[in-house]
Amino acid sequence: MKVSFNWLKELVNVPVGPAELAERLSTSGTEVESVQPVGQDITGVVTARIESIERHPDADRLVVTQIFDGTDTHQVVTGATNVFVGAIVPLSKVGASLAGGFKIKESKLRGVPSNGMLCSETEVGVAAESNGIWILPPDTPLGLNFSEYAQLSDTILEIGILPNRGDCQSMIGVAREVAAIFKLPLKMPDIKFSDSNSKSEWTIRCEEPEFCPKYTGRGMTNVKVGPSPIWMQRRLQSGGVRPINNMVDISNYVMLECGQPMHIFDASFFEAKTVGIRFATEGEKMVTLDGVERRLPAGTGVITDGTKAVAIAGVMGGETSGVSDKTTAVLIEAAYFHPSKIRSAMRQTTLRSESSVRFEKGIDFKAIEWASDRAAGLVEALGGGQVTGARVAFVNEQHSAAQAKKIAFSAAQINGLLGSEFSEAQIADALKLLGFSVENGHAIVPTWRLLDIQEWPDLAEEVARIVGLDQIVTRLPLPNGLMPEPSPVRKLQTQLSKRLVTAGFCEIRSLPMISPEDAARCGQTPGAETTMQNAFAPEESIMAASHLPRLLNTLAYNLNRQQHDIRLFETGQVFGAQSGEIQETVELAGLIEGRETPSDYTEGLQSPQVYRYLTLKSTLESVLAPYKLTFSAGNSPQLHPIQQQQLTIGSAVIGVMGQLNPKLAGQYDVPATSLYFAINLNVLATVSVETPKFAPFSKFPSTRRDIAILAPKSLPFSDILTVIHQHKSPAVTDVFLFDFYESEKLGADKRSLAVGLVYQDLEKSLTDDDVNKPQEKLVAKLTELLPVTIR
Amino acid sequence: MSIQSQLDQMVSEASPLIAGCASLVELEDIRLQFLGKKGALTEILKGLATIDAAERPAIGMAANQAKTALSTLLDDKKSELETASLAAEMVKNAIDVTLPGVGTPLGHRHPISQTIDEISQILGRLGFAVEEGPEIESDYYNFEALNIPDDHPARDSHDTFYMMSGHVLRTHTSPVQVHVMEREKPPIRIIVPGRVYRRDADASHSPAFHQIEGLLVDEKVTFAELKGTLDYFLKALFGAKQSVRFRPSYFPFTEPSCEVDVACVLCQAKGCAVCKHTGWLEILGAGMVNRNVFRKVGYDPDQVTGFAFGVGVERIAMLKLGIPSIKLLTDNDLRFLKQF
Ligand SMILES: [Zn+2]
Repeated sequence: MKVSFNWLKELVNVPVGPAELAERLSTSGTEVESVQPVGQDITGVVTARIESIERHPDADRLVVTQIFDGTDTHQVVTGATNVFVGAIVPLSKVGASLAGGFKIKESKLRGVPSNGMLCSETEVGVAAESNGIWILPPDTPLGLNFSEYAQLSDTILEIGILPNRGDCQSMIGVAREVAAIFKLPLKMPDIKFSDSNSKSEWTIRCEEPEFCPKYTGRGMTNVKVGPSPIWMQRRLQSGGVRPINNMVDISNYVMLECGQPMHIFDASFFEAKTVGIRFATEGEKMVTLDGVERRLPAGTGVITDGTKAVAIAGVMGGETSGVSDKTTAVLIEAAYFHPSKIRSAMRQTTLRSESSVRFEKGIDFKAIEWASDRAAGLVEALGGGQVTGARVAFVNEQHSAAQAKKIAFSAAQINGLLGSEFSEAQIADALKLLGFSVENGHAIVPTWRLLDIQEWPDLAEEVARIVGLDQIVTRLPLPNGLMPEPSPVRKLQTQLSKRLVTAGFCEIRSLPMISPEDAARCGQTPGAETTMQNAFAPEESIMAASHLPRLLNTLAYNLNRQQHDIRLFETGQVFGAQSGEIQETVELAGLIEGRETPSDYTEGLQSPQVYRYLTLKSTLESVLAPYKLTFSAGNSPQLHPIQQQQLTIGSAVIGVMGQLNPKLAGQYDVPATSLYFAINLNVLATVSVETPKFAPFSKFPSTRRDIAILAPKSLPFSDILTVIHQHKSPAVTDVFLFDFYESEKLGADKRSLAVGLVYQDLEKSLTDDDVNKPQEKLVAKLTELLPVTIR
Repeated sequence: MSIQSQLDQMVSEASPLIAGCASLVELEDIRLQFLGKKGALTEILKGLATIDAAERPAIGMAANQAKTALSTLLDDKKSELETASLAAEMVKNAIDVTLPGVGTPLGHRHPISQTIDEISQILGRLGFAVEEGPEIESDYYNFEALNIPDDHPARDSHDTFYMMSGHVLRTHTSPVQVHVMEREKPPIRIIVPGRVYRRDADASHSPAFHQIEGLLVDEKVTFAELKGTLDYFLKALFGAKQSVRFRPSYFPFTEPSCEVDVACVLCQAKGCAVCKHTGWLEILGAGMVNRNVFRKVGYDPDQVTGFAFGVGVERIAMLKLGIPSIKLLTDNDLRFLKQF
């Protein structure tokens, strides 16, 4: 909400400047978002009357005006379309200084001399935008220093309204806060009008006393619709409201002033002089004042002329029932509409107005009459209207909004919550400053805070913010005994992330939302649990079931930016559902591309694809230690059909690794040689790690025997290893591959593998016989069981 | 010539040869020439037989002296030549140690992870243990249980993403408070780091970002402990001299509520665009747990009190690391990630 410092000063004697006021408001709980000087340093602008308007000889869009400032006549060329002969406007003469330091000089527009400029609200710095030249009221004297006359110079404090502080959505509301902070009186505006206590001709018929517990109406006649005086226009502008005509302006002015939304109807529209309040019926339609025909959601509160809807209660008026230039009699509405009903009307109609945002946060039930009278006084003063009878009203005194609220509290409770040592008197004083009455351990809540203040802790907050939060001591909580361990999943997440970083991986954190296309490519079939209703765009509408799509996109993103030798990982929740139950799993996944060691400038260590795959295997073995990782055949469709393996520990499948499926790699424009792995940490956390137990080692020497095997390329090494493990002597303590090569000499479909075996006994030195016999048996078994030859 | 003279002559003949010798092989030849089995000394001593038995001990001593003198010269020269040869060898086989290192360079954790770790460690010292919870939540845990009923205006500030199934993407990490309090009895002292989601169209926001929520519930917890905890936390994070300011505010799930500012770390509180010329940066929201939240989880609000706070991780990371745009934190550009 925009608060004019000039206006505020009329309601309370602010003893400090705008900047300090902003500071004091902020530290007492009213957030000031900005402090903006407006209309300052405007000079050389006077009020002047347009005497004549002629077409520009050489420009269709320009006119030449003669304009009289009370002393001299000036020729000014303008492109404005809303000017007319007799209009009084702000004229910036040659030498004038406008908003933003803009200076007016003598000039020629398309050959015609122009001595000055006609000003809009924007040029004199009081509004962000405007509809053409500012047309002043016809009774404005000529030749006045406009900057002084219109009080252009002001400071606007932009105040953030907290959801519980609807009462601050008005000048009086903010002035109340200021009065409390500085312990000053609030100066309420005077209300003056020729009262009429005669019986009103108007009838209020409220069918929904819960939705509308109070509705007041007051008829006025002999109204003259015209522009508002400049002081009112300025105040509306400072509140961000555009002046329209005196009647509309009065309703807006009263709302800005006291927070009570007002509506002024053209009385002639109510033939039966009856105002009805009811809920809209199924399919009911109405044209709102923005000219749009709307279907009213059933159950929306409407104001009627006794039968048909003329306004959406508390949200927006109807097109035809509003005040027009021809209006001579008006009905002033001031009412209370139920906050949550207004809220749902706003949601259903998607309409938001200055009125609805005030009703939504709850208005002061007891201040409605004051607002109605205030408006009547202004209509009489500015529009010449006369009150035609007493204010008529429907009031539901049983409504919760009508009930006084009394809250029991004690100083001990408040100090017990705040950790403070405020005295009873200190507490009572603070509450009284804010409009509470305090008596016998109770506080009576001011009528403008009924929705907000619920229990004694609310009183504690009021006291704390007025006395000052800095008056409460700062103290560390007492120690708490034992601190629990993090969850196994979190421990794994942290530990494995750190190990991957040591292995050269960079962690990414990407948005978890992906596109339906990403989901389909990566094998996710999203259901209702993982599809968003109101995503910004389809590209961000699915909660990802794995990190794969994000890793692919991030890899492509970085490759496009000339990065290479990339090792990425991501960890966090991935999303799925099983029979309607949402399942969130913590996954750790990585994607690598390029060389193992990017700084590797030596030729001998360039990594061929097999080397890269195998180093990733050993990286994962190290990262997952002390788990004993094993690898088995994998079947992930996102990976290369052959170049992939499942990661298993014991009988638990904890993840997968492999080369990307070339089709998927192509879809993301990343190299098909990229390698991916994923580990399900929830599963991993269920696998227990056995504490190692000491195994004795032999003090007798070991003996090594090697086998050189010529095998077809199609024979997996694991088959050879299986046979060796099945048929080796119990004295074999280690089996390892120590040489591997393929060459044309061997044949295109052959490769040579050299396996070393270590024989050792705990109890004795082994003889040649102890070693050679089992070794020969093993070699025989290999050739018997496998299509291999021994070299 | 007397044996003595022959010995003297041998020494004076050998000395310059040894001194001028340039290799170990040559030196060995010299040794053999003079001291070997068939060398000069052996030859000279053959003459002993012709000498008087009484003179022999003196001559023997002279021969030993000559031998020792030559051996010393030879040993010294050998050691000298060995040192020189080792030095030459080292130069010959030396690598260029100024070449850059080879190997896998260390990777990087994301700045958000680093910030979460740092915050968790600081609050861990005060006994706050890490808890986590689901990101797709029910309306009840995200709103209702936190004293934000359906028609509450506070829902406006939580621009919410809804799932087709009616679930919500949690708008804050506060639902985890409720899960933990439903599961456990006080005392409770937890922090909840995690990702949260807001449907905020503003370019300076991201639809997903990270929060850390803190909750402490016990008997007789007051606002003073809230202040103490956050003051300690912010000073540990931003430096011991950091000024911290508490401002009253409003959150539906706390009462009283406050926002906490630190003196602007970018302009040293002089006023800049980031702190909107106030000299203060809003860092977190906090407050005493609303009694309605305790009622929802079955705690007796007359028996326990507590405080909760929430801090935006991106904001902390951006301030501490000088990151100008939140987009950098979600783009995952390696040129960015490798800086931290
Ligand atoms: Zn600053």
